[in-house]
Amino acid sequence: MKQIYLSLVVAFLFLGIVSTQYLSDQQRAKADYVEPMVLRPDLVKAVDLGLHNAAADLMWLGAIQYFGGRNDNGYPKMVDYLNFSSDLDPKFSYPYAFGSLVLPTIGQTNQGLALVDKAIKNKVDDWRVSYYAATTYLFEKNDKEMALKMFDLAASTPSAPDNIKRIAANFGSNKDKRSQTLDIWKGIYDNTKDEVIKERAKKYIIHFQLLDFLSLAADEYKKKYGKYPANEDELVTGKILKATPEDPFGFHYDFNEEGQPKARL
Amino acid sequence: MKNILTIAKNTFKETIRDKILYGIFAFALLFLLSTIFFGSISLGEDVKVVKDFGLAGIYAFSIIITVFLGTSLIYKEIEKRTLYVILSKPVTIIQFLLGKFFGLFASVSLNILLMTIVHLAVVYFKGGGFDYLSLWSILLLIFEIALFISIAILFSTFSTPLAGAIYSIILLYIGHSLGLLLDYVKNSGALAKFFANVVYYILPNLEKFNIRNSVVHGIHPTGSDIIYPILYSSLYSIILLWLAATSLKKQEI
Repeated sequence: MKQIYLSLVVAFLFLGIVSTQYLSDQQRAKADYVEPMVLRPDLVKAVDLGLHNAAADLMWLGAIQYFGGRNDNGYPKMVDYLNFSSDLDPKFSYPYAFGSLVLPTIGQTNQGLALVDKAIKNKVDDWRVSYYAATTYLFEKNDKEMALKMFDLAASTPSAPDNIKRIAANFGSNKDKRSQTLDIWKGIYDNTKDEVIKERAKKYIIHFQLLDFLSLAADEYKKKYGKYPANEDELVTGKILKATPEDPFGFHYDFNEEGQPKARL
Repeated sequence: MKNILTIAKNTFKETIRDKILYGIFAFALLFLLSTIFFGSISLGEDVKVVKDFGLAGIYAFSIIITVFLGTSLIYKEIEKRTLYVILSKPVTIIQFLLGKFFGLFASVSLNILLMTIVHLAVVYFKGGGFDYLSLWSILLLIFEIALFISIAILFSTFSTPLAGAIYSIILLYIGHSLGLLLDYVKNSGALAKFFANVVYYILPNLEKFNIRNSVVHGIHPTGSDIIYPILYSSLYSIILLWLAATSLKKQEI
């Protein structure tokens, strides 16, 4: 009998604990939302016993949780989280990529692009960072020159998948935009002092001149056979060209129904 | 040599049977397995997060084990007066300390080895393949622990385990922050720079053992990244154990 009473008392005590926790949570939910405090990276660096990567990962997990939760203020601390992660682990590519993709969507375009600059400075080897930045420059900033540079940076990253390289090569290659894109690359070629960028710009100039050349060859083919060729090989078999021209990026070309060349996808 | 081996064997057996060790080791394994969960909520960066947390966990738990076992190692012998019995036999103080050092070193290294096996299995399970680069960071961790054991043994000769643990942990923090000290005095006067340099070179600089942050990104350590820390640890441990022997001699045991 005594044991039953004792069990009942313990059960009531547990019920009390559960109720207190529930009421406390309800009360907290009603309280005003307070933005989380993101620690200063230099402070954490001084006390984390050299475990910088683990600290960066923890903050990255915090950033995901923060972004996953509802925030009516537009996630003001998001950039702090991402800067913290990238300060503690400058080679950790995902915070940069995430920032360049997500920050422009929450009205923090410049902060997102600043993260991209930081990634480039830290020699982060991830095509996603510059690829997402290219879309931001193109759609948010309407800056075609920077978009071109970023597409090229994404395409020249060793880890970039083939389709990204081809998308970068095809960007701005439509007949009505080709001349403008070529001018942008010529401008980059003339104005840059960086030999690597100069070399890339030279390749793009040849690439876009080649597109013009292939377009003209396709027109010749149509005059002769009454239709556009399906690919560059047909220009050779149709005796318009002696051999398929060599693209500086190694692409081969198909033609669309308007006779315009497109790097093969 | 025989004396050192006998004391080392006994210390190894004694520390390996310590119940505290089992408790810490169980927590370590739990932590290493929980990295799978952390990896899975990291938005596609599973392997990197598992490696970072895994190596950090191995480091943290090795330090905890060393603090718990190392700071009471000599103190217990003095308190229980077993040290007098040992030294009444043809055993010198330095042989005794070396035996204690190697015994605890073997015990902590065994724990590190077991944690490493679990870590490598977790990384493999998460699709990271055989993470052989981590083994370089584990090798340097073992040598950092050797130095840290020497620190703990030195404190254990003249302070209680609690005080020894506090001193060792403070020295551990300082050892990982010496680079910052030089940064802080970069724009200061010549005298401040001189003192900062004295502190920088005299106190144990533990950050040179830390290659965890780069191996995770696939950066191979150079030969000097490995050789200099090993040499540093060996030389520093000899000095600390000699200081520990001097400390025991001064207590007129």
